[in-house]
Amino acid sequence: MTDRIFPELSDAQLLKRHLQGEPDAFGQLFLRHRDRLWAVALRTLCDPEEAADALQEAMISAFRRAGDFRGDSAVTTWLHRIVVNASLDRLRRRTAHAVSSVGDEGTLDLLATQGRVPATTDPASVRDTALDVEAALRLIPPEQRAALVLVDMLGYPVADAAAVLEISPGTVKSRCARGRARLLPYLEHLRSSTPAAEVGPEAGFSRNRTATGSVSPGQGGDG
Amino acid sequence: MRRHSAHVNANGLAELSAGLISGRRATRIHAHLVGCQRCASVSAGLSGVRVLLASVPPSPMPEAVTARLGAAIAAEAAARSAAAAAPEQLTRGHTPQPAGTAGDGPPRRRWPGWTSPAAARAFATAAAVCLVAAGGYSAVQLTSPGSSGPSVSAGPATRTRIGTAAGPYHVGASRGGGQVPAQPAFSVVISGIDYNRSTLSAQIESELSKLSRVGPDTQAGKAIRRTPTAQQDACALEVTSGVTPTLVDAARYQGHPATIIALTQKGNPYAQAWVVGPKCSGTQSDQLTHVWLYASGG
Repeated sequence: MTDRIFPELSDAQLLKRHLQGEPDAFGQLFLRHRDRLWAVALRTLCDPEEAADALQEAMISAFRRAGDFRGDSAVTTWLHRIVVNASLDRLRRRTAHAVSSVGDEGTLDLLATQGRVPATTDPASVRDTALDVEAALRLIPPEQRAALVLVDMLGYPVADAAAVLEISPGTVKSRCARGRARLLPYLEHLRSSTPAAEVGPEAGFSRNRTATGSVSPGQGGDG
Repeated sequence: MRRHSAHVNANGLAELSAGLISGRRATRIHAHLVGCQRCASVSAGLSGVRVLLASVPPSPMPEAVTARLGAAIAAEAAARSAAAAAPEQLTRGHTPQPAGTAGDGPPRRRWPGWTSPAAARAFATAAAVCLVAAGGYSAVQLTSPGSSGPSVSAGPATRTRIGTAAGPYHVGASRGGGQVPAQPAFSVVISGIDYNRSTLSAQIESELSKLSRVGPDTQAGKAIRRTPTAQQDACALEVTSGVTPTLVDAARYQGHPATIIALTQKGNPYAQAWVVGPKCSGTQSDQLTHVWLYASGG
């Protein structure tokens, strides 16, 4: 629906056109992947204003540094990487301002004592669940959050998340595992109030992967 | 060491489920889980966390954000085209480097209009999507390329105003077409303040923070906002080299009539401001003083 101008071109071809000076090519690339990039920035930063700022920063950076793209990964992986890095940079700056001498653990403890993950009043409400999840996500270290956003929330394969984050698949798994363990105390109440049929392990991982997050960054339209 | 009774913490269980634990240790934990309600419950809880995370539907990018980012990218593209077409015109900008050549080193944020007046003008002419900012207010005007002529002469520089706390970007489609007047891209605040040399920075920072924090509704009651006169418009753009100013306050300085012109850049904690006298116009700035401010990214 967004490919009005170059529907026939792959991401890599669009990027090439951009480098050749085609003024609309990069905008097209942005439109094509905006929802997924938005989801990554929004979930990582937990703040729409910050997410929009980070995305703008990332897109302008990608626009200017398109020549750095080497083609050893998908264009979407590269775009995701720039967005994740812009988001994490922002978080680090914000954390540095907020609690200057405290590391991740200290930050977490501090936030944990201040933050109150609201109890879900209506377990059937997806919106409430989403709010609770978002609130809980704020309480875990950014690196773990970024990994969880890509793998658990957006459903990207570990290998793709590893390429985006430029870390090994094992590190992605480890961050995800630690992030889940961290989240557990904050989200347990949701689980206990959710119908048992929905929380069995077998119910989990194919659900809700239908919308914008369903395609992994490695599956972009590269030709 | 066959201590099946040893409990496993949540980290260990999460690592097991992520496939990070194998061999004897994995076997041991699996055996423990069979007989330990508590650890089995934690393990199930961890699966539940994954399910919960997956159950939050990703929300599509809001239209306002799409419009804003699309405009920023279009502006960047126009600036690049302008730089390629007329590199000699770029000497007057704030950034000596022409747009589109920032290949190495950490990316520096340069927003359209900030880059150079030439690029900004080119953007105003070329871009179909035009972001007009006036102080804390923001408006996205969707104009056709043909209808952007008048606004070029009046407000040559358009600048994407980003992240204003005042919020939404209004898509002014209803004001499009031939009805778009020759509208300057900013409005003039009449704060009534008598800026003082010793407190100038703080006073301007305070006014800037009001712009970014206070919404149009409440702001309207506090300060008068006017469309700039032709002289004010030309003066402000002369002072800022064509970049749409963030704040133009027709006020007083040291007891005399003066205009305060401030320019902020989102993401850049430093801003600058000029104080100019009544003679400021498109040909002379009548500058009384200039200060750098720390605007904390506002």
